Amino acid sequence: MSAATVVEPGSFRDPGGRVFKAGEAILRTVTDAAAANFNAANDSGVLRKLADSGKLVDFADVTGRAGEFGLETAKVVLSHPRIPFISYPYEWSFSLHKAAALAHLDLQIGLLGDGFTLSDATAYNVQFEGVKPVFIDHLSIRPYRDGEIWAGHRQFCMQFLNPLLMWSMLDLQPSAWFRGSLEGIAPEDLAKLIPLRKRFNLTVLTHVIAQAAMQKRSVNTSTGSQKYRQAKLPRNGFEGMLHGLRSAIAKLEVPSHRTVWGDYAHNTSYSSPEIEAKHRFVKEMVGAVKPDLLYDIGCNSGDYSLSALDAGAKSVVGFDFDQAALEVAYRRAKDGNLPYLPLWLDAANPSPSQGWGQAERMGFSGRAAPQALLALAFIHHIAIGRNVPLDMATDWLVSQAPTGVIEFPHKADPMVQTLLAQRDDIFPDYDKDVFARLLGERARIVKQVDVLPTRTLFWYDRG
Amino acid sequence: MNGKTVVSLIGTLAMLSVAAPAWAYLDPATGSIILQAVIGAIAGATLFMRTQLFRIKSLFVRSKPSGDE
Repeated sequence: MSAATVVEPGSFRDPGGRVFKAGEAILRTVTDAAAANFNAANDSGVLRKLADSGKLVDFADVTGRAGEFGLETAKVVLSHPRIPFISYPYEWSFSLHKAAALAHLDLQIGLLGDGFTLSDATAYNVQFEGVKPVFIDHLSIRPYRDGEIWAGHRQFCMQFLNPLLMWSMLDLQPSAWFRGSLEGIAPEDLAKLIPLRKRFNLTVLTHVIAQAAMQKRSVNTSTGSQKYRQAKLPRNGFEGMLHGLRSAIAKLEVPSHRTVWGDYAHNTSYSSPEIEAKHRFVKEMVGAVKPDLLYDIGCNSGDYSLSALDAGAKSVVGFDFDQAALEVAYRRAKDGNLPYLPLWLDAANPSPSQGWGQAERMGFSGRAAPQALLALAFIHHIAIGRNVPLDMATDWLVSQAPTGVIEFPHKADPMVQTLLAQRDDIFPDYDKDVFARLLGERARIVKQVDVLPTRTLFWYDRG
Repeated sequence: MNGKTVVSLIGTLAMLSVAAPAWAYLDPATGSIILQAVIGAIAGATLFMRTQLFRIKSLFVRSKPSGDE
């Protein structure tokens, strides 16, 4: 094997190991420093048990082949299956974030029962297979020392609890803040936002208000954390904290999402000839391409993502700006146990490459290589809603995948007219024929069909 | 002395009474450590109280002989 081994730039924080890509393979090295902890976890069978139950991403020991990858210096080399799409907490819907938080706590609780613990509580260590959370950092698992404190407590609060509290208590989506800070939302910051009447809640009082007060006080008195390094947390206290957080988080929900559940059944039963024509067209493209990964940009509640899966797409990642729609999509993926991950995206401002060296967290473009794209009832949102010139909007869509279906709602369409209702029509080029020409310059138009007098579907192929 | 001071004072006291080094590459931050020291102290106290309560109870409550009507 001669594939170049490239370090994964997001894996530098734990000195115990690094993650590498070698062609299609994902490899993880374990350094001398971390080998004892890893071996303890591995020998006990706890890693295998977690991997077999799907809670931990699978692994195989390939230390014997370390030379092939140029990783001879590593004590242990593991190989992992590739996750179809790496997502970040600031792209998760409320339900995804909640599922990740509960999975993290369940993992920690289970590990404690086996005499192990997690060395940190970063949300970036949780990824999704469909909408099922899976833990990806084998080196975070190490033996528990009786009486040690929960080292990841503050990180858990910042990356799981606080964003969820902010969302559910204040009905405030934390994504933009999380994306800006990358480390989550500090208790000291959240404490300032919570009004007095919402503070009388054990979880809020303990993990937000009290923690913030103590943090502030210790910073003010500049004692530093050195002196506090000797703190001890009895195991029953640790378990009490974990179970308390688990039951509190399990109850959280977003007030403004509540109405969505009622509409869910009603919406999904809705059908009409043009909707059926759209489904047929999508299935025809997907059936011909059989993509391993398909992006559904503007997925809404996932109607066409599900059609794509029906027609043979192996996995679908959906993107939408509407959190309520994403909640419905999440529910459908979960109920059907589908390889479908609906994520939040502002297409006019997608996730950037950021963090250390602007490479730690990958931007939206180039994060994965989907073989096919769906963009239905979407382009008018950026071309008219966000003033992106039609040629640039077309460029962006076509660059996402070599082939796919783009729906073009004409200017006369009610969806487009709604966007134009409050503003001047400064979009003379927003026209079906112009779009057809622009698309034709960038790809071959395999097929097009008018599903309504004001809506045209285009199947393009760059290949 | 306000409530915050009391809580953090209890935390500091609770912490000084126990000792075990924390192993982590992650800095858990002082606020979290004090909080955990408080929780730890409460958990410890609860367990202690429960044990004591049980001992006191057992002084007064005779265990029922089995097989009695």
